[in-house]
Amino acid sequence: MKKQLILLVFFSTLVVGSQAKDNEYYYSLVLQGNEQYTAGNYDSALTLYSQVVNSEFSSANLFYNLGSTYFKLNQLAPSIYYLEKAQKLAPFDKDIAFNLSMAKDQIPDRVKDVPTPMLEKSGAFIRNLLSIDAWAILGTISFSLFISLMGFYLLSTSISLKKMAFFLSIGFLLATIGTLTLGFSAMNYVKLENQAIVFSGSLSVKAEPKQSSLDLFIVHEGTGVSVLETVNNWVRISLPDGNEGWAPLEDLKRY
Amino acid sequence: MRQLILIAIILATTAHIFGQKVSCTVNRNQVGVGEHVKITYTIEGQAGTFVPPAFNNFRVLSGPNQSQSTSIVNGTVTNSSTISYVLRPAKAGNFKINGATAQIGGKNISSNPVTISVVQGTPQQTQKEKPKQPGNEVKENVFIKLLVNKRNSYVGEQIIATYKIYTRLSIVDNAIEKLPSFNGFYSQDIDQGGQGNLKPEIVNGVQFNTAIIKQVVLSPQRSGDLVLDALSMNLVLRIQDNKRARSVFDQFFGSYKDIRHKAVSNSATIKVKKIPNTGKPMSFAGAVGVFNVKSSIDKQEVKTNEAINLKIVLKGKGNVKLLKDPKLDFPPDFEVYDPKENTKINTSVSGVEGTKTFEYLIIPRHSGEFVIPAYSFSYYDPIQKKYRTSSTPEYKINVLRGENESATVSVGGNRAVSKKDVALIGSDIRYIKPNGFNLKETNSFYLGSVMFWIFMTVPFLLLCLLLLVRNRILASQKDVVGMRKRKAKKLASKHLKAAEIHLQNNESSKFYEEVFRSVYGFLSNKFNIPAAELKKERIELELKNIGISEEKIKDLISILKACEMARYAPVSDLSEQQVYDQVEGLIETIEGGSK
Repeated sequence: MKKQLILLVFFSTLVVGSQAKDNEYYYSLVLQGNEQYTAGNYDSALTLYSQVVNSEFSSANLFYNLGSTYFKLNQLAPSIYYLEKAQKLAPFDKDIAFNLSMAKDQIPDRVKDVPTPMLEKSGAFIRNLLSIDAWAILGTISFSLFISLMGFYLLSTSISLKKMAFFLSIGFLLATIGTLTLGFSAMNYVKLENQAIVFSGSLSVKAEPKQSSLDLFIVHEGTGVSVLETVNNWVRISLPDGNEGWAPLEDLKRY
Repeated sequence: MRQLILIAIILATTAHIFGQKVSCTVNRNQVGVGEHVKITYTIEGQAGTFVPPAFNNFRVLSGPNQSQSTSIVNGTVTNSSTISYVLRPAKAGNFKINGATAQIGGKNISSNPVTISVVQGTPQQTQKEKPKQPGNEVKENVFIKLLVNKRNSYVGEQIIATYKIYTRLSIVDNAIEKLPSFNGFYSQDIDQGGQGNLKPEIVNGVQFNTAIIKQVVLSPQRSGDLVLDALSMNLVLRIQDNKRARSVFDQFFGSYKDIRHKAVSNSATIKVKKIPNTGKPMSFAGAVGVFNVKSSIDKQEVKTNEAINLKIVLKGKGNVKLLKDPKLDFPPDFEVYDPKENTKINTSVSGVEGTKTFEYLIIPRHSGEFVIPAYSFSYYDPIQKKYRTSSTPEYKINVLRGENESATVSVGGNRAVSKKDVALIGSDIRYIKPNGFNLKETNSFYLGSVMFWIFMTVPFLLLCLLLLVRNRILASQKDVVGMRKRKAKKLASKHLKAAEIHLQNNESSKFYEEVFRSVYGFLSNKFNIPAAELKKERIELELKNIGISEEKIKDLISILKACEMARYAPVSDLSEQQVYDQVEGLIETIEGGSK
């Protein structure tokens, strides 16, 4: 039991340690970007932040800073895009939520939100309580607890201890299933990129995935849509008010 | 000539020298070879000797014909005399008649020269051949001109456009047919102060009566070529009619007829340039011209809730009317009312001038030291072709705590505190995050990674390993029991042999001890029961289970009892040899029964 825990801690520090070495350089870029932002040189701050984001390294705070820089440069669509990305990674950050709402206020489109069902909302709330990796670590720990209690149950000769170990291990098994389900659903939410921001100034949404099709409605830069499916560089999108249609993929950026 | 001198002498005593000027006019610039032209010299003031120019290429038909006039206005005596000649050109060509010289008040003053073009063929002859066209003649004598003071300007710069009528005929009636629209301009009329003021003006030596029809100050509102439209006027002119001399009176007074004539002015194009972008100050709001801004404040130390008056005066030449009220950044805690505007504009020939006054009423609501920032007014100076800025000073306002400042005053015992919401002045996004960048590879998570699956499977494998080990231990433990079972008889007979030796040596207590050990050890091994738990009842139970008869069990118990007894006291009812045999038989039976 102890050995396992030590092993876990050891491996996780190993992983974090190797990453820290890699992103020391990028971290310094981010700090330089912060300096440029403070000095009001939003263009150079943007270049520095983008360099880090393009290098496959990211974090919620970096996305937040990048989105704020875009906002200062009056580029609405990328600003909302990166702030949304930041919010996906850190759903309870108040600064991100504030800046995102500021940016969204500038959108020309006003789309009415259909209130999400209570169950879905609370599901999302619970899922967002912890980060994906935190769920995963919790899952691993509770799984190993389940396994060790199971072992205790099998090896013990005392009947009362056996009983206790059995019920505890069942509890930990359920906890494992719960945390991992939440973790995987949160990861899917981030990885599937089933949301998108309109990047072109005005986008006519079509009835079918082809250019000659009938225009259904027009959305403007910065509006957020949900992506339902993709067919040959066309995506089927739905607005928060429930309207659906097809739009070319290049006019959107998924996140 | 002598007469002239005479007149001069007569008048010299009475008249003052006034408006010394000699001018020369002709009645027409273009004449046919056989025609007459009348040249008139007008001398204003007291004339001395008059020397006419040499009329080369002309023959003097009559002259000098002289006339004088004296007028006394408000006690001021004005003399003028005219000397005229009637000339006939000798040949065709352009001839310049030099100016005449008159001595006025001891000074020689020359008149302007006149150019007369003489053409072949007299207009009179053509008149006879062709039907008379009054238009042609009228056009030369009546026309409207558009005069513009500049042809190139900047957007917003002032231009003065004048529509002027020139006439040598008497106008009976006039009506403006079409006024120009001034598209692309902001226009302001210059008031002419009463109409019909005719002024003499000489054009190419011919005297015309002129009057200004319309005079406007224009400021272009966009760049490009802007056109000033023509102005057209319907006129009724009275001209002499030579043909219709029917009666004696007509011949005497001359006969007249009225003709209608439409006079159209020229139009003009003005090239309007954009104001250059280079060096444009932040405070520039489109003013073009020359301006000056001044400000005054009535007090700089007040108590709370006392009013302050701030006056800003914009004065200048340019489009004062279009100036917007100044944007001043008052401290947010000041209550500022919309300014009272007062505009005074004077539109004249030199352009639009004026002042615009803004009066602000400011009431500070809280005590403290405040600054009303300087106001800068920027404008483009089209003459110097650059931007200029005029600024007011900044005012420091010291606001003392008044008697009833709202927020912080407490009255006696009951604290009357009124709170106000914090006023939001501006809104902006929040500042970036200075740290906490836990940089990770994008979209690579511990969940689902190889490491994750390793950590998930390792405990499981460990459990499996543990179970395996346990099973093996259990199996080997089971084997030990079997071994013990199998070796039980051997061990028992070993003990019995030892007992036999003790029997032969007659060591009674040692014999019983060995027998006891032999039986107990055998049973313990046989049934895999620890020696501590091996009670007689348990033995009975176990033996019954393997189907040993009651008698034998009783025998065994009695032997065990005897052994226990014999350790402390000699045994009477069974001989040692008997016990030995019985035990041997019993072990044999149990061994057989358990199998």
